[in-house]
Amino acid sequence: MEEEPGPLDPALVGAAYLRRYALRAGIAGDTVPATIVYPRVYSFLEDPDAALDVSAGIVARVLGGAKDLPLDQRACAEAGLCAEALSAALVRKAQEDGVQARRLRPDAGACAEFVDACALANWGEGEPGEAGCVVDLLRTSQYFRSDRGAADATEAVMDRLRYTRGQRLEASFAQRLGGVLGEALDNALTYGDGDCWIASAIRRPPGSRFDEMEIVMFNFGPPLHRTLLGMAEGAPQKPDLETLLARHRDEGRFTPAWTPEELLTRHALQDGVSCVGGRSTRGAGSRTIIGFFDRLHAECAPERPPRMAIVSGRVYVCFDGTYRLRPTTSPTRNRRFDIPFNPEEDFGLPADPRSIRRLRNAFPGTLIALRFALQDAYLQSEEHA
Amino acid sequence: MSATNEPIEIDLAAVGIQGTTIFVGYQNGANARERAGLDLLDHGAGQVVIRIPPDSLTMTSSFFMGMFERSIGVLGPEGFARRYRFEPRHFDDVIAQGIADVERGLVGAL
Repeated sequence: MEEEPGPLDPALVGAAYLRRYALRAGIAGDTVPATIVYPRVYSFLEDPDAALDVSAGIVARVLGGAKDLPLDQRACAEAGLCAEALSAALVRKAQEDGVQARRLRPDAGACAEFVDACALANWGEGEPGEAGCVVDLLRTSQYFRSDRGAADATEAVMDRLRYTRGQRLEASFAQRLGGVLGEALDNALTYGDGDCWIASAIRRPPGSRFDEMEIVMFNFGPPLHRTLLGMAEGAPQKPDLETLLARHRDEGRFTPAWTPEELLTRHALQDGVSCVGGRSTRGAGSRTIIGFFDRLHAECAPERPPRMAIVSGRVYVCFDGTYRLRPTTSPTRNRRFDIPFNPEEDFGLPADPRSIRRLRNAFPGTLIALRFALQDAYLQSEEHA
Repeated sequence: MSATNEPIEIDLAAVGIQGTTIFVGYQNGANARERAGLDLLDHGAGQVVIRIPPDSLTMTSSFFMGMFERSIGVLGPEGFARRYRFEPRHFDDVIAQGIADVERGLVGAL
């Protein structure tokens, strides 16, 4: 694994921020696109490489010196908040240098309404309209004050999600959701660089009897595998890591599609694994997040199953209910929960490539995207509040 | 410990994160532990009531661990349940999960 450029300083402005983003994402910038063309499906949940192509195009054009940013969204038939939020973050940074974004919006329809709402809410473009959705993008560095960044950011997001569209989240579900957000934000701020972006949206997909909630958060800190590799010599979990790497290397498991990056990313998601190391109670964050998703999947209406994705560096992890956290069968894991992402449930084997795979593009940090239906049990009407 | 063996009450809002009733983060929990003086209370005789603000939205398992991991280690799960009472019982799931995590007493991963 090659050396990685230093962290993306949250205080950097405009092109300086995007230049560091490009370095960390390996964007060559040797061609400056005249127009950034959106794919038909613009979502990390469905097509992460296509979504990363858009962000690479935005960055390359700004770094090429252009003062305008033509975004051609006409072919886009489906857009996810996850991808919209990343491009919005990059457009905001470009705007700091006076770059003007110009959109060629999709044809009328639900996708157009959503993309319009994202542009309006996130980078101030367009006119307020009947978009029919709630959408927002926050940056935790605006909340980051030593001990309370994660608490403040969780509160800000939950304030937006708790009361919306005439209903509010049922109390115990709000607690579960708040717990997951708090855990994820705390992890991002503790192990990242203090700069985490988080966006949320609620909308009613065409033909659905439920609203859908989408949440995405990303940071530009070290990807998960780097965090593990950065574990100090002598850390209690360091020998486990080395044993695991040696096992896959000695048994010839590594291929161009299953590299140490994929292996270590999968490892980082296991219950109890922590770069802090050793302690019985660390490394519970990923279990909380994956456990929350598993429960959503178990409770969901079959026609609208939830989806979750984690993008970290070049590694893509897809959660669609195929694999779930299960109590470990390993005596050395002492009642932990495992998710090896393969039918054999074997950490000695690579993951199912439908669940963990290598991307053509790199994301210079870690992104988590979640989408699920707000079924009736998760809501209570205002009159009962 | 009072002479009448009245339970000692700890207001989580006062020892938690200033200005918010969202309790997140291992370090925040550890800070709350120190402010509440739990190292002393673990070795006392009476019951301790942890008052959770009624409008509190959430407590993460990391916060619970930072605050109570050491108490569970000292008292054991049953002793902890006898000594510490949480009112109201908003976060029973988080508390039960936290006790189970400490009980496992894990070191290492794979």
